[in-house]
Amino acid sequence: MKTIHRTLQRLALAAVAATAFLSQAEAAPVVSVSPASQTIGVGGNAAVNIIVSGLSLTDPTGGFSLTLGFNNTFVSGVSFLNDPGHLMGLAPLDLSGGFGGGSLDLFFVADATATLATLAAAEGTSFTLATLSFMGTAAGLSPLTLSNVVLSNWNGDSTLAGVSAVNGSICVSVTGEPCVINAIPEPETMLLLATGLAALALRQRRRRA
Amino acid sequence: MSHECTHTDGHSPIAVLLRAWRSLGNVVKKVAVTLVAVAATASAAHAETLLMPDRDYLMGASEVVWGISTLANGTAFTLDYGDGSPVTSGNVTDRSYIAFNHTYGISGQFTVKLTVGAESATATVRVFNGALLSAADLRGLKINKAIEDGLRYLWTTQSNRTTFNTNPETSWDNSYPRVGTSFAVLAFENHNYKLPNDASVPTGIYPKYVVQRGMNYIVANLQQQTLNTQTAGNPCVGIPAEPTNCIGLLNPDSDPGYGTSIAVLAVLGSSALNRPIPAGLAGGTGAYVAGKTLGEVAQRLMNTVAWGQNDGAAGCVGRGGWYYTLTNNACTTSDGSTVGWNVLALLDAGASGVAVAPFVATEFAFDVASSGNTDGSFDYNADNNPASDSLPNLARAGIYLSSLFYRGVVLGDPRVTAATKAINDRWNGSLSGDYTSTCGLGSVPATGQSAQNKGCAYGMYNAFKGLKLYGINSLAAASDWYAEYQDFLVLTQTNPLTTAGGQWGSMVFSCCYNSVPFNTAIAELILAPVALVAPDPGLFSTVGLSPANATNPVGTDHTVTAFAQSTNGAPVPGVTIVFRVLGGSQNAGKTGTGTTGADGKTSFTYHDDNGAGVDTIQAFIGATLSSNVVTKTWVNPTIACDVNGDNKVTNADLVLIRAKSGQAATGPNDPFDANHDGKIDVADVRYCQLRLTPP
Repeated sequence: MKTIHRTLQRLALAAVAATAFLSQAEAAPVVSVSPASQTIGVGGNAAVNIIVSGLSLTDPTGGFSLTLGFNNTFVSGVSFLNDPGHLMGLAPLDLSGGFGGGSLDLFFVADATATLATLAAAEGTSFTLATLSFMGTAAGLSPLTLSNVVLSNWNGDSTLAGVSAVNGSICVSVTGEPCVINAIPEPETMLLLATGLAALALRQRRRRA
Repeated sequence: MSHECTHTDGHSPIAVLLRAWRSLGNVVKKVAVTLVAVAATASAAHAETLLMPDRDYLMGASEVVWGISTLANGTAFTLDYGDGSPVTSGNVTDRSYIAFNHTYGISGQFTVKLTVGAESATATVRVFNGALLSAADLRGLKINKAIEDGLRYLWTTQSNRTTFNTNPETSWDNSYPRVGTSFAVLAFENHNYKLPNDASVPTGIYPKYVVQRGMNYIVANLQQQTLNTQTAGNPCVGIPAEPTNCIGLLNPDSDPGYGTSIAVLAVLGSSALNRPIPAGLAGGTGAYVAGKTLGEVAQRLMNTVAWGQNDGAAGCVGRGGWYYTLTNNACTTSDGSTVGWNVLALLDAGASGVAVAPFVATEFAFDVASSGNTDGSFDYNADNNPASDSLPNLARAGIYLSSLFYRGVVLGDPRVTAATKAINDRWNGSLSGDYTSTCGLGSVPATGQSAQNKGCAYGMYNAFKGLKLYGINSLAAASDWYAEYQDFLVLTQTNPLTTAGGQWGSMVFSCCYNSVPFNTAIAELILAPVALVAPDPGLFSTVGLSPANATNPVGTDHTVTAFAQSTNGAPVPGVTIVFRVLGGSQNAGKTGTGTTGADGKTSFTYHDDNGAGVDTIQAFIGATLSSNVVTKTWVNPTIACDVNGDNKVTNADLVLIRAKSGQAATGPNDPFDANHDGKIDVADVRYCQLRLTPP
């Protein structure tokens, strides 16, 4: 029993320490749907931005690819525009597959003349990767789920590490009532933190006992 | 004259470049075919005039031009040298050797034409201006000339020359006629003057009137020997109808213990084991010779060699060896000199695919252990004591090497190293305690002669065999020992520019016998590109070189491998192969030399120094055998991101990469994984976008 206690104690401390470390480490890029949620009526339009944040000024992105899934029962894709700010250059290479069924495929590479310096200066730590437009087609909640998110570094030598994604949703409402939206925490961090807290609680209870 | 003499191998450069036209010449030469010479009984035949084989000359030298005719002496003839000089004419005085000296004043390729009566023949000669040749090419030319003039000498000194078209047999040497004839026939064979491997009539002076008639003499003058089972086993193999107590054949010259094996060398050297022996030959052995194939005769000879091996009676020091006489279930001294010839016969048998009773090799292991010494010498008389030499000399060190090779001992084995050292230590002279009478007869050449080596035919030949078989090219005492032998032989040939010359008259054969035909034949054998039997020309010309095609990035190495094999596919070791990147190739002129090992193979590796393009490569054996031509394509390294292989990087490549986005790389060299991070994604597209080929 003593051994179990010691193990749990170590596990708890490690989990807390790891969480603290993650929160203090240099921010990794996050690609997110913005706004995270919005409500439109049937026939109404929703503008959605795909935003990258947490970029390093020494490691800008030279291209991105992602898939955005949605429920095409409730919304349909209308349009998309990659790099609306032309931050990745004036002559980029857009190899996006576009809308198909319930997904949008984006594949975009910066201007060949863009350099590390120009990209870093233009992109900063956060910029809009793409602007999308959806139209409500039926009442219901359509998640906007990001997957296959890849950010190239400026010259393609590698991909940016630690990229995470934050999804969103579009609520299509007929009555004006809001749709139920489930919060989607970052699973790994939350799991780690929860494990640590649970272990600490258990330790306290046993100590009291 | 155009030539491509840019060899650097230092051995026989011109031999290679002359090969093509020579072989062409042999093919196009038209002669009236007759069966007279190959048949045992002369019959009426068409008149025939033949010229010497195609050959090369040195401009400004008085060279011998010659031919023969079956027409009677007294018949009018003309000899046109082809260079515009006056034609020699008159009446034939010796139809077996219509020979004249001629000096070519210009270089180039000429057609010599001999007309006797209404019959004429042509030969192609190439005349080189020595002043324009590199030292290596001039040296090669001299080697070629020495070979041709030496063979011509053997033609002139055969016993039945004047009846060449009526007497089916010819021979050399009166004391050891079968041995001398075997040496002479083998000399022609190893320069690729060979008999057909079927019943067809040979063509050309040498195959038709030397090799065939000499072979007739050898086989017709063998002797029958009943071969009973020996202590070590049954010597009768390869003769299905006679499983035991078979009939063997032996050479009844004074010392059949080695003479039989020397006869084997000539028969196997023909590489024509399917060739039937003319009917009517060979009185006493007729039933086992006439009408049989050369292969069967070779088998019966080898069975006799097996039968005559010393047997393993108690206390037999010479077990597994051979002596001057062949032993029947008995043991006598094992004589290291004799053993040398037996080993060569065994090696030839292996290279020719002729069966040998299995006990021979295992029994011979006893002799190798008994005769071989720690210092690399090989006993004259086996003594079972590796610390004690019995009359050591260079020749038997060579025999030790050949013996070890036959036993499958590999290069690097201490015994091979020791035997090589024993040759090396005697390269320039005898050691204290040596048997200095190795070549004790006769006067010796003034140039480069040593008591056991240069000038001593027996010593040179055995050192040549042993070193060649192991592919040892360099000794401490001789950085290119073979080149030294070649140069010595060129230098000491007797009067090669006279109609009666061309022999190696000042060489000595051995301690106890000397014969100019022997020495001349041995010199020719040393100058030949093969140590054992010559490979099959047909196989070498079709599959002799590989790989047939290859493609590699520029600036890398390429290796081709030559394969020498006998007519029945057995690998032939000890063959000197010259590799050449042919003219017109990207790396034209690159060349190299190798010697085939026990597997019959040797390789040549060269580096591409000239960028993208195509090389054609060919291998050569002497002046007459050439391999198939193989191709090497040098290409620029694959351009990174050029996934569609169109030698440029465009958006088309980017689209193709994009199509594979999300997939894992197939390996470290997956071209779609341009940044080699193990996955194909947008980074690869970006990577390649920055490497677009400029428009």
